[in-house]
Amino acid sequence: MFEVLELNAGYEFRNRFVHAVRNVSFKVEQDDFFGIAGESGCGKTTLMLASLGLLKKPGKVISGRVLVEGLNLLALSNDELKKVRWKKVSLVTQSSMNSLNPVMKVKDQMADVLIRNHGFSKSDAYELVKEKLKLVGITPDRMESYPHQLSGGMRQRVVIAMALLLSPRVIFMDEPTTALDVVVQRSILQQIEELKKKEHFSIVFITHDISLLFELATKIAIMYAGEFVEVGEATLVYSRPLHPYTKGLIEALPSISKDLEKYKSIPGRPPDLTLKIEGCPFRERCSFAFERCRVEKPELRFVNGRWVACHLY
Amino acid sequence: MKVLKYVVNRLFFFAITLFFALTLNFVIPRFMPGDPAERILMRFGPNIDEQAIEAMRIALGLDKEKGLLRQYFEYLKNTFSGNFGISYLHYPVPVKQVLASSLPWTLGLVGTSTVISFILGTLLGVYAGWHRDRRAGSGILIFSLCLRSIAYFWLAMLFLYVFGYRLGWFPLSNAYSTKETLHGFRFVLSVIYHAVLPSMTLIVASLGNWILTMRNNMISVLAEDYITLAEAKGLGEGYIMLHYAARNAILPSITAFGISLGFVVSGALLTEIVYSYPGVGYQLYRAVLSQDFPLIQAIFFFVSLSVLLANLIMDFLYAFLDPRVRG
Repeated sequence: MFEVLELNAGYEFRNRFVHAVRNVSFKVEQDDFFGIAGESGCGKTTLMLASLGLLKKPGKVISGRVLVEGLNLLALSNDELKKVRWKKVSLVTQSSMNSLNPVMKVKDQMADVLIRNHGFSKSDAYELVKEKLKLVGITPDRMESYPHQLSGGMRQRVVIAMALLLSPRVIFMDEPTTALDVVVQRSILQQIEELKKKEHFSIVFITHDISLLFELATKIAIMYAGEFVEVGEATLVYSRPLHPYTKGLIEALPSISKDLEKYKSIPGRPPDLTLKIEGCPFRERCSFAFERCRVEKPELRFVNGRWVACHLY
Repeated sequence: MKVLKYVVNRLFFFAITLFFALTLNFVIPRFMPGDPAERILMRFGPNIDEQAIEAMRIALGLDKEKGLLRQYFEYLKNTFSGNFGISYLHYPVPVKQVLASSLPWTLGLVGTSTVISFILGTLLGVYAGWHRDRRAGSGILIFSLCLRSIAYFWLAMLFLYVFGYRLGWFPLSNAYSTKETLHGFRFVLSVIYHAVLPSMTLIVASLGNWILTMRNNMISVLAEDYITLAEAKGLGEGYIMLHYAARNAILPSITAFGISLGFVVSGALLTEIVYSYPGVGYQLYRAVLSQDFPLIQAIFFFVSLSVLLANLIMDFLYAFLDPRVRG
């Protein structure tokens, strides 16, 4: 349904290239909740922008394909893109504070895509806007509001309603709840799950909050230095992680039941993405590293029900 | 209701600020050394009769029997009834008449140039910001940086020399033809013809700033999430550029535009001098040189009035453009 194939992307500067997405492939099926987790700067957002054909200069996609129901999104003309975007795949962005245009009424910034790109009449468009807002629990009288008149949680609900407008099959969500407090965060995540059941769309959920993903996602991908290092069923990856990085991330999660005496973390820093990485990108921070990790780059292989890129297996 | 409250609030602040400006305008000249009455009469010869000075003082409303407070209220009354006294420099022509012969020229020339420059610069800035990675965008950036570093009085002289003197395409001085008496449409044409070089100078002098301001605003707006969302929605480039980016980026420029519109009244001193244009700037310059306090005071009054008025109008315009200001 939505497939990314061998995508390579990054940022091009005069004399160096930041290779932020390295040979990433993944497939999102019907009703998937696909989580992508990784620390800041690992290439999550670049992967999302590149997959949607939204990466702007100095960003650049070097190679790869993005298939949406058989169409390669990266090879479409502008006119073809206009029809595919938002109808097949839509987006909920990172911060609820800046996701809405401050000088447009809620109804107008939701309806413009319907009227301009998908042939809706004004009244039909507003009717649909009203319907979708109701779906996320926002009363129709808020249609006339400007974004600054809404709370952070309401704004994020509006953005979600906007993503639902044309009932797309796939919705990308880039840290949709990071800017909200935990109570609002919880209620919005619950709402997303309910909507997903009701409206039958798949989610690609990008976050640094790995605990959130283990709770919500059906499939999970762990991203490190621009690559996927472990991909599989969320429950399986959580209960029996294989990659040392995944293990480290899970051990670093604070536990509610145990005492908070030991606060584990992964020592070291991720490698510089402008350089060509020899061997395994994680080897310098890995306690299991051996000679082979230095010379040979591990490829993703299917081990114990999930894909993992590590020489240990 | 909210809108009404906003309007009343703005009007109130306008009135208060104007009152303070008027008071300062009254106080400052009175701190200056010297006696204006003596200064006027000095021009008629070295031996001045004490009685003549006293008579002049009374004529100027500065007689000692009157307290400062009474002078102040009289000043307020006179200002609001449009009586600005008599110009020392053009004695005995009233200040009102001096201004009436120079203000329209300045308003026409500097006002039009400011508006043209703002519109042109803002459009170029929008384009340069949107295409900042393309050659056209960098081209406009370099162009505006060059414009900004030109000394514009030098440019004025260069224009005058090349287009006025050497090529003879445009007149060398004045605001309209003085060789013949023209009427109606032909007079207007002559005024425009005389205004071309000075307004070109003024536009070139300020264009760079408008471009740079707008370009920078655009670039910071383009980093916002709502721009990414608009692109993900598949909206057209032109629509996003205008309705999502420029619509938000123009707000700080509007404030700057209001301020420069307010200063239109003070004229464009150097340009008016180079082109011998009979505007307020030139008049103010001469008034300062000859210590013509009533004229200076009147010009300052109009400058503060127009700056405040322009700000008031911009406040209303801003409220119209930015829903956040309306509350």
